[in-house]
Amino acid sequence: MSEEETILELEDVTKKFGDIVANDGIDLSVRRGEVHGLLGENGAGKSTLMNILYGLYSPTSGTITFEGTPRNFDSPNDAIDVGIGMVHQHFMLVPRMTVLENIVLGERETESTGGVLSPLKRLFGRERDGPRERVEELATEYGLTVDPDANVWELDIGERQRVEILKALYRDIDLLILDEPTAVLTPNEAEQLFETIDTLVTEGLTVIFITHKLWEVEEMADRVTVLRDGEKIETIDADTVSQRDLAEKMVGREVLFRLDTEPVAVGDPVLEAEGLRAHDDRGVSVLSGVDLTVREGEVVGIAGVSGNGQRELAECLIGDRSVQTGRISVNGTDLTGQSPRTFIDAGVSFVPEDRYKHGCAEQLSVMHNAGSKVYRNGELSGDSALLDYDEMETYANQLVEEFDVRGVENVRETAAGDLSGGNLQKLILAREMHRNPDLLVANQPTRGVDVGAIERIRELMLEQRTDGTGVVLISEDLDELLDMSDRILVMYDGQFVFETTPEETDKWELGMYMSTGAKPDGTERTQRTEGLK
Amino acid sequence: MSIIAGTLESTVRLATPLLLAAMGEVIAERSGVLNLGVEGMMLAGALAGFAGAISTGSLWLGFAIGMLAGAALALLHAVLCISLKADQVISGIMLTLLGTGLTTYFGRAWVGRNVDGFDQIALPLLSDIPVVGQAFFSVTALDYLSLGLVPVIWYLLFRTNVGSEITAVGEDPETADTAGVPVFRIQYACVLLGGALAGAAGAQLSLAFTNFWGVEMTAGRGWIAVALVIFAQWHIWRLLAGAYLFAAIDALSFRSGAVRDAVLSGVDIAAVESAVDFLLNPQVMNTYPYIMTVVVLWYVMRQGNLNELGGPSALVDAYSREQD
Repeated sequence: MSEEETILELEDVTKKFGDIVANDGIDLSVRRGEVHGLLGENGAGKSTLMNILYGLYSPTSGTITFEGTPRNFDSPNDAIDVGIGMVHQHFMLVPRMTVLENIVLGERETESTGGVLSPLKRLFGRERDGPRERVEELATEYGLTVDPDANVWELDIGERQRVEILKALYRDIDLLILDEPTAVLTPNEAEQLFETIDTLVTEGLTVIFITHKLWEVEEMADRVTVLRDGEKIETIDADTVSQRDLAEKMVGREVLFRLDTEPVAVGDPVLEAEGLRAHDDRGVSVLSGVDLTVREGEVVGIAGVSGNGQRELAECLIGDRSVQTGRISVNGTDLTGQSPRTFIDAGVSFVPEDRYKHGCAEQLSVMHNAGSKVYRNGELSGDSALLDYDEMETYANQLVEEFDVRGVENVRETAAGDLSGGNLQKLILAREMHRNPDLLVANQPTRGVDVGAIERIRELMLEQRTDGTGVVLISEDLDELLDMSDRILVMYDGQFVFETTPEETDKWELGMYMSTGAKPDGTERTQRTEGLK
Repeated sequence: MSIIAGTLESTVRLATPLLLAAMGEVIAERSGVLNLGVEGMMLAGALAGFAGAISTGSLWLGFAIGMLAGAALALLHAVLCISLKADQVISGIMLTLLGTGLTTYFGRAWVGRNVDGFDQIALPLLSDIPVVGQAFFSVTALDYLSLGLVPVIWYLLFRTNVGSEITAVGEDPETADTAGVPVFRIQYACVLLGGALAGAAGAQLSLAFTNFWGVEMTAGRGWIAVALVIFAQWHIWRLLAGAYLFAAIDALSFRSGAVRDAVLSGVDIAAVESAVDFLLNPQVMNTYPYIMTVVVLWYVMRQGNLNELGGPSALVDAYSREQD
């Protein structure tokens, strides 16, 4: 019965941040050698619970038993010491340091001869050749190839994740927590990760896999625990439950899986961009001749691995980044080189990738953020030349109501930055769409947003499309692109390398174009990628 | 003494406080904590070192007391900025003002007194080299010490476990924390060490350079040290070069009259004369370190972004674990 042995037991764990209860009396039991899925919407408390387990947060109450002993972690160091490792959703790597330096960071296990000088040796010695051999050994053992001397900033996302896993393995762990590990990966990279997880489990590790993607649970997990609103709903065997049931448990109501995407008649072009070339923030060329036309009532989806020029393209299309060569016209008017203000006035709306940094003024109220574009046309000024806060409040309340923005106690008081990701996104969409734009440029509009809000955000964008708005949808979520787009373009290395429609393609093909920039060769589809169709 | 030999000799002695203070600042900043209180900590070190040396009768004890005074002010900065997450810029400027005010008040009793400062130690043979020998190999123990510290601190920051941890904390404290690095302990240690080195820089001024205490005797050298860190782009070896460059400008400004005459000998054009007069005016020369720093900033930023300047990514960001 060794398979039934419990490695980790959380009992009645509660965590409060001020008045907010992030985890409410959660029990969790994990068996040795299993892949345990932790499923829940964003804000359900998954990451908080795992941060407690990793010693980053201290629980308000509750107990943690690991390997049969009650534990009290003051810092990640304590958790690492007993054999718990974690790969965070946002990678915990220092870009300026090398892979090896990142892996050994925090370790002070330089071969010590003992004696009074050994503490000094640990501080002032240097981890170098011993670790290199170990890292290379681990890399071979688990198939995690990566150059130990490369700087982390040079690595792509998949490689960085391998470094993270190596970093955890290097500490001799028994339990590995993966926090939404596939969120940033292409389907092909995700498949590699799944193979790695298989290897880890074969080698005797236990894995906790946090996700909000249902098919991943079905694919990877032995058992799954569903969290909702900080509470545990239940733990189930993964192969006895359907995705639809899981979704219901996770969201608490029935979820629509397919959107109604009746195409609408497309009209005249609202956006015509030709031969766009542009530089990134470092002055390196990132767009090398991009042509893009979007017509009224058309959703053009842009797929690509992050960092292939999508963000810069979006910024060019709203006038926020200057183009080196090429032309952009909106509704037939040439706006090349004009200010973002001119683009806004011409009817361009924008949903930026980083909603906290670029989508809102975090410290300002919902009211100020809601009105931060329309105030210019005098709508919020009443009779005077100054802003009329009552008018503004009414306007903000109207948006909050209409777009179902939750978590707003008082539009004047609640700061935009305090809203959850999904609700902030709805607020931003409200601001951008209420002005009925001709062109909407949306960059990753649903990334990191919970299932319920995703549904609503997609509906809102499609409604806008039906009203004749042309939409540029940049996304790494291939389901979203396939569901919503009329046309799909794949961006690779600053260019569009593939154009298709949702009917003619599938995730596997898109994934191949995204990761190689070229037509897929005859590579066999594995069983798993077949499941991606 | 020729102008060149004299200038060279004062350059070495003027470089020492800049080098000590700037190395301290580099250590603090590489752990992510900006400390604009260098000027205040240097003043505290200068007065405490001077008073300590006279009271105990030992120059080295005085020097140590000066370092402690600098570290004490730095501790205040550390508590405010690391534990209480106060704004580092505000706290640092407060520290400078506090150091200036306190040393002006407590220093009154020590004005007008003198101390037999650190003696020059001539290294055999080396000090006999013409021009360079006197300047570099017949200096005080503190000058040798500051030079000796350069490779030590370079090694500490770039070749040890703890140096790698300091870098990680300054780049991304959250990452360092999750890797098991004691973030706050590292930051405290770096800020305190930085304060002690600033205190040492001040004590060098009063115990090995002027040999007396004077109100605001650091005369902006603390600020030059801060600029020097940026000028050197947080590199230790460039810091060494920069300290000597800035010190040479300082040394020349003491001799601006003589330098002017040397430059203008045989020149008889009014426009050139007034231009040289302007450029060699001591007050104008005092701005050169800042102008050079601006040029470095401009040169680097012109072709890239802030990252390429070399500053720690998390500089000035207070880290707290349970924020979300």
